[in-house]
Amino acid sequence: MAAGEFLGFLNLTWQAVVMLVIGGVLVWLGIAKKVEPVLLVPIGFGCILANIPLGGASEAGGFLAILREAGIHTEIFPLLIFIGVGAMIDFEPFLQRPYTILLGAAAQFGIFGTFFLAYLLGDGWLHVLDFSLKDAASIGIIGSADGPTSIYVATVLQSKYTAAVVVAAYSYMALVPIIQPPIIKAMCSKEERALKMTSVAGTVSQRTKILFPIITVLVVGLFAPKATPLIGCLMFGNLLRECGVVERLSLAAQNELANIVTILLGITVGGMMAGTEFLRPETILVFILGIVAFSLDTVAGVLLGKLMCVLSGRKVNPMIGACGISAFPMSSRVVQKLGLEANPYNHLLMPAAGANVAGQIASVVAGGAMLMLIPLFT
Amino acid sequence: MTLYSMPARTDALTAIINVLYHHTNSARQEGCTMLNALWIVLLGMAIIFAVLGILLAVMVLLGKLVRPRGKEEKEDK
Repeated sequence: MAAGEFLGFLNLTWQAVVMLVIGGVLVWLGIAKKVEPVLLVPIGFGCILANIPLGGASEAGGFLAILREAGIHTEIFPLLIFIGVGAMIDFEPFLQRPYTILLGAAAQFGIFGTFFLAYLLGDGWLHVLDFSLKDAASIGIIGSADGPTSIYVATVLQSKYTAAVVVAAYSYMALVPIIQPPIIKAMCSKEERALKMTSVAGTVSQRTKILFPIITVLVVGLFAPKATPLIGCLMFGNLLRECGVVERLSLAAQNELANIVTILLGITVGGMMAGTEFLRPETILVFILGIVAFSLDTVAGVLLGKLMCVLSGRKVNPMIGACGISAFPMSSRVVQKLGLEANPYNHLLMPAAGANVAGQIASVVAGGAMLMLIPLFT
Repeated sequence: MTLYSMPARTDALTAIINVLYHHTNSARQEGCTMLNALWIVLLGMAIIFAVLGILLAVMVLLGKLVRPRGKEEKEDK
């Protein structure tokens, strides 16, 4: 038996070495820099496992391949994660200011704008890269700024770039504090950033909080049926939280379920980063287009925020439009910080959180819209 | 006389015309696919605003119909 048949290091390719380094960097970012450690540590470790020659972890029959088949290809992992996410989110800031849902809607433009750009570069016109209509849609969905939605849409559309899309979506969420501030500052004057928003008097009734997930599922499901699995799981989790009679289930969804699925999802996504498939020019462009998507989201959200500011007689701070991107809660924190920088007494966290959780619903609807439209034009 | 029944010396011209035809046709098809992509963008944004607009209307209506009970308001104060 030749040594090359059982010694991994004799089979190292340059792609495997690069991916082992990338895996190491992801783990380092998570541990040393505390950048989305819950996601980057499992993803980075999965990437290392997948690129050990002869390890077989992500080859047919390997445990990462089995997890990929069972959790990603069946779309189960993102849906289970959404139950946990729904149980964690308090929609009260949104219910106090329901109009913020329009900011969430506007901020989904990054998805469609990036889709158009990716398709233009790919099969649509320039043929620079191998991007089909489905691939372009999967790349665009990075702009949902929502990992589970990105995984779900890219998997349903069977994109070749699912792994790159998922890694980009998750890693850029961590980079929201770097991507958004320069765009917001460029679009909003200091006077606009300093604009205070009045607090909303009164509270949202418990009945409204209970009815909200049921009504949302009905409205979204009936008008954008392809979004039903995602919005259904998100709102089911939220109903567990708000109904007040299944506290054990709510806590299980927020903790045990979310944590277990995050571990499995993270390591599986990392396992999809095999060097031979991942290291392609297209992957680099997917990452660049991911930044474009987040930037377009922010621009579109702030533009509608400015319009609302004018129409409301300067009662709405245009910066909260940037929170329509669903990267919850990073985006709200960014706006809160920028508001305080412009005016030390300007606390925007609650209205920003309202737009942020509205963006979560909007991004799911955008994913459903994409899944409805792409088959019609393929 | 059709293009394809022309004498052999016109082959070069035919080839050029064929190339131009296919180029234009493929450009037309690509233009068409980009138009489809534009439709996806417009319809996608329209669906999002329509669905969320309906949700907004329902939630505003619900907010008017379902007021916090006295106990909940007191808790808030």
